[in-house]
Amino acid sequence: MTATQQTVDGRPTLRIERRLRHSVERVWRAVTAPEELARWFVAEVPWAPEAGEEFEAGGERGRITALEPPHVLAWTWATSGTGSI
Amino acid sequence: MTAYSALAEPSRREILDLLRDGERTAGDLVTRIGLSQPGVSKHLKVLRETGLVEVRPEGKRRWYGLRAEPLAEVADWLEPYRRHWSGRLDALEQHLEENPT
Repeated sequence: MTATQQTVDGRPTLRIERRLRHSVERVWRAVTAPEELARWFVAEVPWAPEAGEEFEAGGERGRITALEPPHVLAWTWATSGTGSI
Repeated sequence: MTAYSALAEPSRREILDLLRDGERTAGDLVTRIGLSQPGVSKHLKVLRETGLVEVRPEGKRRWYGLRAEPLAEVADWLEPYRRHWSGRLDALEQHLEENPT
């Protein structure tokens, strides 16, 4: 695993990289299906998910900013932070 | 101004990114960043005042270099976020190991 500080779109960014030995399809399901997220993420994430969808998870509001199955999922969550996989 | 405010400006972060590889002169920074000489000088002044950059005179030249201390402070601030996501990704990895299909 690596974690590096970068500047992306003019904002300071913490990039965390993790290689998983499972298939892209399996990992995609783990990071998008609500019942899968409930098993490993900090909160249940009740989303479809759909691009632009707004959701609430763990008492914080978020919005899906990019969705390109099965490779890109990005969302804002908890104040102004942005998370993406 | 604090190190955090100094880092909020994209050109200043670009200067720091360039200095990560080693010391550079103001002229070199001007060429690489595409800002005017006064623009770069102004940013270097802020970076020096906040302790992010130090200058070393050598003959006629002035070499600008990174100072690690204020950056370490910013890294400390980021550490909880890094730890949080590392922990989540550990949990994801474990979940996949236990439920491979």
